[in-house]
Amino acid sequence: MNKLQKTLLVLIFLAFIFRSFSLENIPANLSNDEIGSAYDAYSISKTLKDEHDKFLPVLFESHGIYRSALAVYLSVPTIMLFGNTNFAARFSSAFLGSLTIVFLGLLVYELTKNKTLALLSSLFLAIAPWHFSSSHWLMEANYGLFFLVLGIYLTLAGINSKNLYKTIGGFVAFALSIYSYYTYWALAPFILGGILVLFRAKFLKIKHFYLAPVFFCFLMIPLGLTWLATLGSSRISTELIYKDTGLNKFIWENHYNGIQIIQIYFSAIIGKYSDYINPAFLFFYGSNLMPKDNPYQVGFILAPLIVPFLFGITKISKYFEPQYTKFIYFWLLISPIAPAVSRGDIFNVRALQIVAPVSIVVAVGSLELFKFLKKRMLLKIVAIIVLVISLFYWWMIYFHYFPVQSAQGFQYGYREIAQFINNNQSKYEKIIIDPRFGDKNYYFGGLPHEYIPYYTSLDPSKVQQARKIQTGGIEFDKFEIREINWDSEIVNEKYLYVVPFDNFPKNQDLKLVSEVQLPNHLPAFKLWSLQ
Amino acid sequence: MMLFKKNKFLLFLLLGILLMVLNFVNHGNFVVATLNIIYLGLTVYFISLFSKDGLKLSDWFLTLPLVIVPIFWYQFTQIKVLLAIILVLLMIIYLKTKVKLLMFFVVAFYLLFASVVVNDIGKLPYSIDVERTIYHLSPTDIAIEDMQKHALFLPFRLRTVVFSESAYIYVLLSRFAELFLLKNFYTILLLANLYPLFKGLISEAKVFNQHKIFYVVFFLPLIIAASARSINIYNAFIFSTPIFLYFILKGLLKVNRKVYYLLLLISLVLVTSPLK
Repeated sequence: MNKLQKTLLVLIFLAFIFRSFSLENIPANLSNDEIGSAYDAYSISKTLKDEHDKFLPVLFESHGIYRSALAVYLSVPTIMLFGNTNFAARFSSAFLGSLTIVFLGLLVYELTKNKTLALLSSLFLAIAPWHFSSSHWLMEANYGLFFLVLGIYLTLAGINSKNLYKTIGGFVAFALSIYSYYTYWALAPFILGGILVLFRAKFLKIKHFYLAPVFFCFLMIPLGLTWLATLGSSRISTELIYKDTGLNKFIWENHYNGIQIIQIYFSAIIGKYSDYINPAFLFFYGSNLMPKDNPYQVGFILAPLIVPFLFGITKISKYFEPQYTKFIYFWLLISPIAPAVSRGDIFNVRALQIVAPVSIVVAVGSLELFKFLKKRMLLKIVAIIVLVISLFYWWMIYFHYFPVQSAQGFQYGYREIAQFINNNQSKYEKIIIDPRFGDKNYYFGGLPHEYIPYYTSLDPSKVQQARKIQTGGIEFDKFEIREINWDSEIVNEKYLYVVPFDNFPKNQDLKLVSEVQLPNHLPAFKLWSLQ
Repeated sequence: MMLFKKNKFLLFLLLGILLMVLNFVNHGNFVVATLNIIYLGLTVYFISLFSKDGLKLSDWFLTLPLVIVPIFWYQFTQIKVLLAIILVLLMIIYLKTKVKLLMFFVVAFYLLFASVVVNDIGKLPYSIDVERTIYHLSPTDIAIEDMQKHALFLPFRLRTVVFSESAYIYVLLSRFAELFLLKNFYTILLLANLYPLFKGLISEAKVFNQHKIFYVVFFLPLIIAASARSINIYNAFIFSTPIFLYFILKGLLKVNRKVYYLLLLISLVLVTSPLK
């Protein structure tokens, strides 16, 4: 191992450490999707049933739709081990995100036998802001990416070495990626199909390899059956482009004929595909960590790396054999397909998988660029300084500004409310929580029925038996989750009321017992009681 | 087809008529249509002078793709196409003259001036309307100020250096990168032509190093376009078109024709789609 390779290895190790750093507080709170998975994992760990009283489900019901299961099941051991914290919820994602870096390097080494290229690919994935962020969140897409990269590595290594176990392992990993996130329902079979077509000569030669697709199909049976049973409400059905309300409104208003409708959907898909490979989105603002007009946004990959990317895009064949070159191009082109056929606006979570092949191209480009610069040491130093400066800005944004600016969007405050409840629970007969947050001009709908039981470690069987309240909302244990209208509220002495900060009570006797502030010191929630 | 091979004039005439028809269908302005045809003709002439191995335009497959490039049937204002025609004339002079360095600077200064006009951030005679540029975008200024205010972890002087108007460089580069959206390319060049463009770029990219003027003609107008507050994609790429056309023509010799026809069919679906 030479000096450069040792340095790269140290940098990758540091990336590992950083992925586990400050998981508790960055992002400032568990997001909507994170708390859904974390609470279900907690519920499974105690009762083997989810929030909706379903025994070990294959798809989890969440806000009226069904989402993938693997992130939930992989969070069960960490929540059992570390308790109901943000760290416990996010740790499995950070761990698998770190392993993705390793397996991408192993994959590149398997295909090229070039250690430096393999380490550079790992390094660029390690410092990819969007991959870093998604490893820092309990994000289903991040689990999917890990299993996808693992699947590609094991399948190709298995085919190369004629090793049945590796090949089966690869197919199993592909299947697990499908269990991770709905984007991989389309992507994983496409990539697996691509591998089988490109390497069919090697694959078909060995008869016992045929077992691998059998395993894959066998693993798909539970998911297929559950999907059929929940048809219409699983995310794969609700997220497709034909459900896009804007597009459907456009078609409906203009009375287009059948051929025109096909043209409209086709144009929309191509347009979205184009948006997902937009260089500005990938290299300048795709991470979406800051508000829209902020000039300090960061992309999926750090902005200066657009130069080696452009340099590398036509040089892949210099490092990879022809079949592998075709595969890398195929991977690059196919990655945005699934998000392109999804409805709604451009959504970076759906496009996370693009970072892996892009990191490989950036690594190829970097090696080529350094060769091109030859002995122009000054230019090389300038390139490294620019990269370090962009790293510095990204870390400032991610560790300092992002948790503060995004706190409200992450429903900050419920953990602090839960802490208050934990300390004062015995004082109150009933705790009524208004699920709205934000300010009077525009209230968002929060998920206190998941946050509060999670952070208070409430027995999940009590939530599973939650009852609907006639006037709207739900109740379980001593909690009522419903909107509080002070005009009609009959205030009880032993009740605690949790409301958005600007929902002031009419009853003058109510006392403010606690106030929860956002990290920027603006008020978020107020807790009122007669006691 | 044999008739076309023997009679190049007839082929060019038919293609000229086709381009005129496309212009008429798109905007109906005869003067702009004529200027567009002149712009294409001069561009092809420039490329033929420039190519070491010449251009093989006898085959209709190698000429039809030029006519269907949408930028040549877009409704530009007359002055914008005239400015583009002048650019091609200057580049022809650049190729023929011996004082290349002088012509290099003439082309560069001309582009600087013409790009400002074409992208509507300046008017004739020369004046720049700063309000039409990204500099003084209030959300950017507000964000810089806000970042400075909350950078308490940095010493005061450093705050104003780290979070300063240099952020506009990042904004400019981001908008510059945004120009390279696939959709922009298939809007101005047609999806089918991106295939020969890619092939041409792979095989002929070194032309950029051999003729530094290509860098100027390609990048300068796009950087100026990126600094405009509102970007019209046709205006942004009008001066770069000869370069794209060069790579398309070179790439056409290397493409699989069946794939090209398939892409042409897809292009037709996109161009006639009610959703733009």
